Amino acid sequence: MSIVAYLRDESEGLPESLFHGRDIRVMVGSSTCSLAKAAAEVMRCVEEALLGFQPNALLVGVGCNGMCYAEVLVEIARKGGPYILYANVNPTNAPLVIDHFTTYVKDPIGASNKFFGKVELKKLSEEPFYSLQERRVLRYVGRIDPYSIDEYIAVGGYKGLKNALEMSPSQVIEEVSKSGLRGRGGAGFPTGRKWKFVRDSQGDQKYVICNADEGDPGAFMNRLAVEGNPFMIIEGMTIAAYAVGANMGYVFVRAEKPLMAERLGWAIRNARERGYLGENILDKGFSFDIEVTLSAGAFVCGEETAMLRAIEGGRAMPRHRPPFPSTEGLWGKPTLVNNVETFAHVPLILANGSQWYSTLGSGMSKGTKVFCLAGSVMKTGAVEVSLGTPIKRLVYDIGGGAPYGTRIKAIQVGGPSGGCIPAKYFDYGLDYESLTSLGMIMGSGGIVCLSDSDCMVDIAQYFLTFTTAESCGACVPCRVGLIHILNTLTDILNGKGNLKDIETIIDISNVIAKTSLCGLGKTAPNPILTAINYFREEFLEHILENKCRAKMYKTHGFNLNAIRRGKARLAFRIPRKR
Amino acid sequence: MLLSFCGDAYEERFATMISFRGTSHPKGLRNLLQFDRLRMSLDERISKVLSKIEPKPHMLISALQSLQDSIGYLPEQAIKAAAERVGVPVSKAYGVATFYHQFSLKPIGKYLVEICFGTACHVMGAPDVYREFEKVLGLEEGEDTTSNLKFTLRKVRCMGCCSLAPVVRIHRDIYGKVKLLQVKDIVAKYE
Repeated sequence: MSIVAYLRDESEGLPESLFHGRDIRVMVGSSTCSLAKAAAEVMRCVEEALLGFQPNALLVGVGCNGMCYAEVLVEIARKGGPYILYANVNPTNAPLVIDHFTTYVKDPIGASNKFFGKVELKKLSEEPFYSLQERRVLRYVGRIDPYSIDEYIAVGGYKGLKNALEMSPSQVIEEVSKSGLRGRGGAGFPTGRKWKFVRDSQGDQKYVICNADEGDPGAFMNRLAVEGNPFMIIEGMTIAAYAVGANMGYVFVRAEKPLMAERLGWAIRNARERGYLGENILDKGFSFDIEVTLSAGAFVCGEETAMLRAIEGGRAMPRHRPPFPSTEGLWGKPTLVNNVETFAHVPLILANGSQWYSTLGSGMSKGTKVFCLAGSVMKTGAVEVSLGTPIKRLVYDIGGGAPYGTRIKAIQVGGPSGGCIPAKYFDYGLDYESLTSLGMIMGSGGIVCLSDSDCMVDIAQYFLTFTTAESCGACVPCRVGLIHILNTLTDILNGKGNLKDIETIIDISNVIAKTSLCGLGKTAPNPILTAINYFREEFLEHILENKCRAKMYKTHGFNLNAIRRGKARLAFRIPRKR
Repeated sequence: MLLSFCGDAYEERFATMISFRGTSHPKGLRNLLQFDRLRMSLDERISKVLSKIEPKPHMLISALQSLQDSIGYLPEQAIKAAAERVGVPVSKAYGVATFYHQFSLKPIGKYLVEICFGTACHVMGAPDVYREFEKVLGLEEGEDTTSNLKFTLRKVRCMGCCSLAPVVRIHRDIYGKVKLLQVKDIVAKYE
């Protein structure tokens, strides 16, 4: 793939202090997804090339800005412009990038002639993947150094905390309530109200916990936000602690994402050294500190009461609520638990006001949300759009639709607690209410696009395998019920099912959803119920004809050579690209 | 120097970054670690690791994590020692060690090959990749560690690189968009 150079608008410039006295600033993506595509080598090659072309340049490792399909991303900025984002860079063509920028600065037209066929120049504002987004949380992710607090302050960081410390705690809660922010972890509980509960609880010691145990398969927005800008989360937690009256915080990080923990730990140390954490923050007499706790890997830790047990050093088994953590949480003390993304929105609300915040979004769902696109879609990555954005806009306009020769038949939203939405409902908006009306919850917001070659029975079985393995075993409906569904589904997949099975699955699912102890069990039947609801014909085909249309599509639909030789028949018409 | 504005901070983090990809762990360093492992007995290593752990019950998981990092798995005596150090019953420590996926009570290979089984990876063919790894490493059905204790194959939940599905991680190096034909080459790097 050739390099694409995206020219940024003047309005997206970087403040002068980010150049640290140099002329050129080179930013190389270095989050987990970039590193999987040899970003470390790209960085070395860029460094070597810089010595030749721009000896006075500054090289910075930054997070990924969400365009994961075009990794590795290298952005080069000159003081006062131009700002060019290069996509599809690899160690071999990295020197070309520097060469192109040097030539472009001197002579834009000459550059396009010289690099014809090698570097394609476009405007970033004309790239729908970027221009259709509303970037608030991700605004500076991928442009600032996640290890430097100075850069975060230079782009407006810690303004929110300063404003908050000028106000009284109840005013801060009032502001957050007015903004309409709701928990971004899945259930969508109003954040302001939760803070008020913790504030009103009696207790000498209170805790603030950031849930960074991003376990939903298909979701990586928390990793992206933390790896690109960890200070945002720390600032959000500090504001929350001030509002609810806590002086100790924990970030619970998933073990599978070690870079996230490392960058958070670094940022906490950095903030402590600069007086944004620790004793007497900003000389306002308020003290707060944060510790990073590494999870040992259990999906159920995403459930708040289970997470509290894990932090206390035990088996992560949820307990009955109430009492909610806001009254009896960590070590029996009032505890505020919020998701990474929720905390990331807080500094923005305090810095710009609740009025500004609630301009985006729809109805009861205010603000923006980061969704992750993966699976059978052209442009995979993370996008931030306002809540209520129609699904088709996200999948087709931003994501670019399915790869050639396939068609998106459904999307899977929210991992094992979400469900499948068939293509006919793609007019629905992505917000808490619409998704509830379709029989699922938003979850963390991971969207996996499923094409015709994905069997819905297989997908349902996959999620059941997942939740069965991850069920902690505390309550019977979840522990026993899920295994029964899984066995029945496996029978259906192997062609041993009968028509009664579908009703049995629905029955057991309803019992599990009503009687389970925690969120894992309550939402575990969602994938299978939505699959049966919207794709019943696929289940019937498996049961009655022992036939899988996805498998047929997979073996015949793509094997054009076999079709040409008359050895296979096209199972379905290859749909035209939308 | 070109990259000097962060001072020593930079050296440290650049080192971490590099260690995430192929060139990581230069042979010398690896040998040194091996040497270290051979020189110290298991008990010495356990007590050395545990001496850095704060003796409080909530440190149990951290203690077990550090022990697993150092030894590679959790032998019985490590669990007992950890329980004693943080002051919880051995039964509780054993319960914790068996509850979480991260902990292994059996010796694992030198290189942990983790195949991501997240939704996106599942859709993009992770089960095929897993079977291919099984074939290349010569593992029988139900086995997960090669007989020479070099590789351990494991299914993991989402690693958060869904946009590069299917994803494989070997000893901190991450490989995205793995194709079946690449598997042999990837394994050869660690032979």
